[in-house]
Amino acid sequence: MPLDIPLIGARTALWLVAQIHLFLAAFVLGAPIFIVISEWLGLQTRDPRYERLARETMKVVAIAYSLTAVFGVLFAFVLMGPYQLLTNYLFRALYPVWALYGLFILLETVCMYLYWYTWGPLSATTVRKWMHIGIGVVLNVLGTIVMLLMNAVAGFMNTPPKAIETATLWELVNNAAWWPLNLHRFLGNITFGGFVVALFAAFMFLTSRTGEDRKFYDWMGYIGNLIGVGALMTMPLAGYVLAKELFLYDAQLATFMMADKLSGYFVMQGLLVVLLFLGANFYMWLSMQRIEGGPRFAPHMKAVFGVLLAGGVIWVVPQNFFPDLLSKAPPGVSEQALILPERFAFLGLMVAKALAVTAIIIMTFVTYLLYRRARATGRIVWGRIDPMAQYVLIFIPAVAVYLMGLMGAIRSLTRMDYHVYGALKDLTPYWYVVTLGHSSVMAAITTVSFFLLLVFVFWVGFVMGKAHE
Amino acid sequence: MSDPGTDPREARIEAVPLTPGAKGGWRRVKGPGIFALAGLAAIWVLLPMVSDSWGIRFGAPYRVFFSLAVLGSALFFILLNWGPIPAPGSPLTTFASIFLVYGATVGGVMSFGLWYYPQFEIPKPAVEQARAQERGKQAFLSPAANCFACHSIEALGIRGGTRGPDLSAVGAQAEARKSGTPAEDYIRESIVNPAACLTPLPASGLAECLPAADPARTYPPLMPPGFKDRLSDEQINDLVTFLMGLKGLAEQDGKSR
Ligand code: HEC
Repeated sequence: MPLDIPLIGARTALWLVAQIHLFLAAFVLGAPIFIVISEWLGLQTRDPRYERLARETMKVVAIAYSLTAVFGVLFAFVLMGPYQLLTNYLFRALYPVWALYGLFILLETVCMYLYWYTWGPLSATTVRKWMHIGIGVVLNVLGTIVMLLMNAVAGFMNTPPKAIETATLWELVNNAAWWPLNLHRFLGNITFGGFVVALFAAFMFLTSRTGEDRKFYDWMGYIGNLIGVGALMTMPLAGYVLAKELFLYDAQLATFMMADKLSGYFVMQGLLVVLLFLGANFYMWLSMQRIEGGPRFAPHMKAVFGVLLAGGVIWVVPQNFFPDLLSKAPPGVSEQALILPERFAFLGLMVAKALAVTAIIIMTFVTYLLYRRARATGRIVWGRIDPMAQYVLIFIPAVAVYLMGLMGAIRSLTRMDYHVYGALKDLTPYWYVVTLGHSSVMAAITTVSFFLLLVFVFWVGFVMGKAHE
Repeated sequence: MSDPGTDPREARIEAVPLTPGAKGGWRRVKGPGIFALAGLAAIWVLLPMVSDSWGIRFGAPYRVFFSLAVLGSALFFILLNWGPIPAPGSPLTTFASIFLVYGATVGGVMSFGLWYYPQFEIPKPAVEQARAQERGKQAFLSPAANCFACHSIEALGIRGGTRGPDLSAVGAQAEARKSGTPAEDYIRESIVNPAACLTPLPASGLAECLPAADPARTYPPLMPPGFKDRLSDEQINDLVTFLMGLKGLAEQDGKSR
């Protein structure tokens, strides 16, 4: 190993900067997708709230964009030093991808600033507004291309083609994990963007001092959360597609992930996903307060809650629990293990987990239907809501960001002691797969760091500005 | 905080209780509180009582899981009954409360991860077995036992002698060597008393060992007796564990080092 980083070590340093870079990147890629849609809705419906949502979110994106770049550069530094071997390898194998990445990052940045700074000038007439929306669409196209390029690299590290020596560049790019990763990350970025918007709105709601602002931020939080939850519902399926593709690629890798060293991560994933859905439902129930006559739907919550809980319990039943027909439980695990009659074995199977998550999703859907139902009979009074709802909108992003951090660790750790699975060994002192305990601490550190950066962005962009108006 | 032109009433957040029936300190915790107590009692008192008689068992981690779920549910409904909560007044308390909620969420999840992983991370027998296999491999390669002088293990890249059979798949083959004898016992016997039953030559097409040497069908009885005295019992156990783990090329190739 050519270089190390003192005190924390190269892997920890890489982990921190790469993860924070990815959080920021997920936000600046995901948010513009619905920013443009919201701007367009504003033009269509003439409802000024859409325009304001789009514009304020874009302001956050514009500030966060430079932070994304800063952490991208730090990420590159660590790669160039301690991880030289890998960096060289990736450059050599995929140099056209890197060249295109450089080009498209430049184009995206230009487009991003264009989109942000022409917002005022281009809002005078409808024609100009359409031009501005056009720029936004181009921004999204460019952003998506940048994402596809980097997913090719990440996918390549996870699932390089088996005949790597003879593979063409296209085969290296179009590796087994590429498209599943594209799908997963695209949807994940929207989820992420939505929840960050909800976080922003909650922050603004709690810090604003006028009823007018609170009306708006209450609405904005609701929309952000709606986007987040809507996209979240598709995530289990996208995750399943990715896992399935890994199974087809290499059963050993997939077993290592789902049934061996990394399987504990999936129990934790189950817990986090259930927390997310619980939070989302809790928020919607509190939202009933805004509707006149809404609270009468409160009793339905218990049923919904019961299903969510049952789903969560099924999720933690391990796949390899011991059926009670065993003559003797293997020594050492007996105290910890779950022993059930064999007819309950299906609870440990993927089918049961898939059913559990489906039930959770359906129940969340039911909550939204109830909300609609309430809305049909009563007027909505935006801003009339328990402040607790805003804290729920802080809780949900905290869990979502953490979940993303932990799932990212899984993707990275499935490579075991390889940088590029099966092709390039990790020769640093940090080749080993860390424990779930280690990863959960790392995820916590990155989640909190990301939050501190965001609060800084909100404060610089909105609170500071207001104080001087 | 006194913006001119701002209606002081504007600064207050309006909210209505979601479950108007559940107001009053005690009444909002009563239902969930009883539920929590009953749940915990069921998990820690009733469950251990019934589980043995029904042939089920919930190990400690699962009971902790369920307890967390019960407590979480209770908290959930207490919170739901509680509202509306007062909004923080000053910017300082606002910031502090936001950080607190975020930090407590992340901290809680992290503590769960820290508590959870030692429970299941690696099943203990697997670790012990891996260690025994490693020791067995060392014994196999050690000059004291000198097994590799006669045996190769192609699957692990061990190119030893060829007087004895290649042991790449011995863990699988041993199943069928001697009917009625478990694989583990057969391997042990092959080490401590090699002449008892002789390994068939691969070309013979036989799976079973033969009690007497036959140049056309078995290896010659070359394996020295007396390993029982030259090696300790632990070493022999480790060797057996190691050899039992050798299940052939198909499973050994790929990514193992
Ligand atoms: C001098 C050469 C020699 C040495 C040293 C030797 N073996 Fe053998 N081994 C043989 C021969 C020849 C056979 C086949 C005939 C037989 O079954 O005895 C054999 C058979 C075996 C078998 C049975 C394989 C089968 O598929 O049935 C096992 C297991 C075995 N040896 C293990 C060992 C171990 C462990 C050591 C070291 C402690 C060892 N051998 C040392 C020559 C040797």
